[in-house]
Amino acid sequence: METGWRRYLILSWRLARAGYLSSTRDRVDLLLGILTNVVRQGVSLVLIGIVLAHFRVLAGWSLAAIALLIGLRSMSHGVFVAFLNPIRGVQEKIRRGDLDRMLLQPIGVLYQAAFGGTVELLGFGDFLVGAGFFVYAMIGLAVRWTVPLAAFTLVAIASGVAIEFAIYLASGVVAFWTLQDSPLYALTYMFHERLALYPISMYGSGLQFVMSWVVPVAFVNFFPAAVFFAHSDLPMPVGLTVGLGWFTPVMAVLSAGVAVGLWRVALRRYESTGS
Amino acid sequence: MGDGSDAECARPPARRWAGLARYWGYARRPLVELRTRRSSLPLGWVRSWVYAYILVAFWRAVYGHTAQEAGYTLGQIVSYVVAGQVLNAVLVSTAQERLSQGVRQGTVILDLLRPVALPLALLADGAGMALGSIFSHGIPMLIFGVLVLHMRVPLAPTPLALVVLLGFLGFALLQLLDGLIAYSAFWTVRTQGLDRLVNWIVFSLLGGSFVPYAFFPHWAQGLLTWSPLAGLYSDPVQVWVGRMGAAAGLAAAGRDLFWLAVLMAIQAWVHVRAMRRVISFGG
Repeated sequence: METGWRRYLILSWRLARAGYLSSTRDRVDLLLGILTNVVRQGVSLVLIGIVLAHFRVLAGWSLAAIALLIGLRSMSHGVFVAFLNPIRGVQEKIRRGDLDRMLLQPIGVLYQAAFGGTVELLGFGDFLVGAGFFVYAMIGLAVRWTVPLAAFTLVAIASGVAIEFAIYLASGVVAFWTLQDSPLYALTYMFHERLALYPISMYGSGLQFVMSWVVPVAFVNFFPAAVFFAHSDLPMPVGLTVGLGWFTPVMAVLSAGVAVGLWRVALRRYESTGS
Repeated sequence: MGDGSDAECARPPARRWAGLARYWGYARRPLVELRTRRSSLPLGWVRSWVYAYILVAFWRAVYGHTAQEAGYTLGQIVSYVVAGQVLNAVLVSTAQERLSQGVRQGTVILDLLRPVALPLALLADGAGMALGSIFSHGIPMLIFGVLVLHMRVPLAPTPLALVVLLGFLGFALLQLLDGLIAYSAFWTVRTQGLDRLVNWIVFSLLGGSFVPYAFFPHWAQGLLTWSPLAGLYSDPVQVWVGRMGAAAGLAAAGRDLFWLAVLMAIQAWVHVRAMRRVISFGG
């Protein structure tokens, strides 16, 4: 029997393959789902474009700059949905007692809760739309590409995945104590799916603080955007600093660390629902 | 298979009232469901308040120091988008959910066996949902809009009556538009995904709930103003914020009535064809 990381790697490959086959079983449904995401996000940008045709900027952000925000968020969200989406159902697993079964499996509980043997191909649709927006933004902002910037782009996407994972895990952990769907989870969803679509500088200072340091969705797209502006001749929008942009991976590691720590504490105190 | 509507008309008046009472059963269903979900209502309020806050923050950020754009002041646009969120409580329909699910699971056959007309049963279901939604979402949003977001509310009798009339017509239009998509389940079986897309893009966006038509390109304004979609959000909300007077509001109501007649005719035609596709295997 394989041990350690090699075992997880082989298992991940097998589960991913099974998940892929399962996702592609109904191809029309899958294509329709991807198309829905593409059109939905495309229309979001068109809607902002209709408004900006009158005003030119939103809190100092042009259409291309907003496309950068949406693009970065969609790319990391796409990867998250593709591989880690089951973590969003962790409350349900706790409430229904599915966690008991996971505890009996000879593999990490968090691995099972996060990966769960599914590959959600709809996530690739999100990623492709995000990549399209990102390319549009790079052209619109006339960003000068360098090797460090290319590396930062990959790091920023990975950090976005880690932050999204962390905030959903941390909000789901509450269910260990409440054994109910946590209101925190719904609010987390609001922060990530709605509030993070726009520059945080358009919100009040209290909300900006929460989005930066409590539910750090600003590090998914807003602060990383500063690094791209630093490679462009366009002025940096208000509220952005390159330093915070480079701090993104540190924030991702910190967030994931805190969330996993909370998970471990909660798991030690877990009492089965008996359902 | 018949839907019972012809038999309904042939009955004596007393029994016809009893028949109408059956639709109350459909209207009651969403209200009962709402009662069972009442503990989750405060969270729903917070979510819709946050969403309204985002819309208002967006418009405040784009307006900046601009006094007026496309004929709207910042105060009017704030009232516009929040009023759109209040109207969301009325503009609900259960047709897609009930019918698509019924077709997929085969339970639609039970609905067709009941002594009610399916389109009217769906309408009653939607009316019950809207009634519950007014209390569970509309009023909390109205209070939040007035107290926190400083939304303007029409208090004079004429605009108030027009908003209620246009809101009611908008509800009726939505039931028919949504019903038509729901009927597509008889051909496609799966309408999920497509439903959400249509709901969001066609009804909300092109209905004018986020952005007033005045901001759209001129060619789109012309098309949308004469479409049935204008009756969903744009017209009632324009009356709400004082951008549409009594005469224009009544003209909009007339246009809504025209579209209601057209859509009812189309839905009747689609209903007949959909019924021809129903095959029951029994068991």
